[in-house]
Amino acid sequence: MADKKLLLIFRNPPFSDSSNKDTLDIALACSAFDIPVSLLFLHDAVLQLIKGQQSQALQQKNLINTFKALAMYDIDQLFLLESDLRRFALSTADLTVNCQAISESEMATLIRQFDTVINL
Amino acid sequence: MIISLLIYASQNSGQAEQTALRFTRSALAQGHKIHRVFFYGETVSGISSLKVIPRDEIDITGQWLDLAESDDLDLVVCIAAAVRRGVLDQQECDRHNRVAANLVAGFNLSGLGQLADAILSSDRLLTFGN
Amino acid sequence: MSDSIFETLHIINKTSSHTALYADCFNTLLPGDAIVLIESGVFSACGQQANDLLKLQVPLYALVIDIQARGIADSINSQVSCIDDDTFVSLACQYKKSISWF
Repeated sequence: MADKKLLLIFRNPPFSDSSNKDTLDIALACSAFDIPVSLLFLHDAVLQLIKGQQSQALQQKNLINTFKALAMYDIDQLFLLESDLRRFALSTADLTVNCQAISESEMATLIRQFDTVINL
Repeated sequence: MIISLLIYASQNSGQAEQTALRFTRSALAQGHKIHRVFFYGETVSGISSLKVIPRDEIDITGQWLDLAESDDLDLVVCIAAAVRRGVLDQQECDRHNRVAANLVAGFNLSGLGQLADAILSSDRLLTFGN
Repeated sequence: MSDSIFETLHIINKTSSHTALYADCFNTLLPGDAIVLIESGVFSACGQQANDLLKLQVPLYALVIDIQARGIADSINSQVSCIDDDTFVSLACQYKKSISWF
């Protein structure tokens, strides 16, 4: 089997539809199969990563602990757009996981490097 | 070429599953191999033998089965997505002590590892969603 | 057959009212890519939306079955390539990978 690099794109805010969790589950499963996985957070998806989320009262599963645990699965290539950070007045220091902030053109070049892209 | 499909759509909105089905038929007709069709997310709700389709509507699940029979398709339903939506095979029905198994015969419940395998084993992965 | 010369096939199935979706797709485009409009996405093969997409300077395809289903066959921009399912499959094979935008 050929090596396949996988990019997963998140596009939704926290506590929205199930696509965030479904995408995260793909990340964990593929990592277990030794597929190198990178994550790209676009638009509202950046909002999932804000530090200090206290969601117990919502009675909804919070994905933040899973995001924090990704490094243990060797998933440490997380990307987001500088322009999205600016839009939400955030910096990478406001986020709970280490992410690389890139420009739109860097994103386009980044996507070229992957064999498979899943964008739920 | 070896192609796998990931279907992430509700049967009640949009036409993603119909597009995927036509894509699959066309790919098979051109001599490509469909390694696997992986049903994920809300799609799996429709793969229930308890559902009753109005007589003037198309049974898309039945069409997948026809294709599976004629072309030996591997139709895999994500087990986690299915169980949480009440789509169970006999084994899951027994395990969770539920009243009935309702997964449509011809589809198989399995884990996301089957999607990972599809990625590794296929030249192309196409996602159809809504 | 696996030596594709083309890069990424972007598959869009929503109307251009989904502005963030279109913006994300446009931001990831590079020369060598192409766009296929399917389902509700075929409305973007008409009018100003088609002009906007053609400005991106990548090949633009639209599924003819979805165009006909929506009664817009006469409104499709002449620079858009209308394709059948078989050509859609061929494109998916010719391009190294696809990204579905929905």
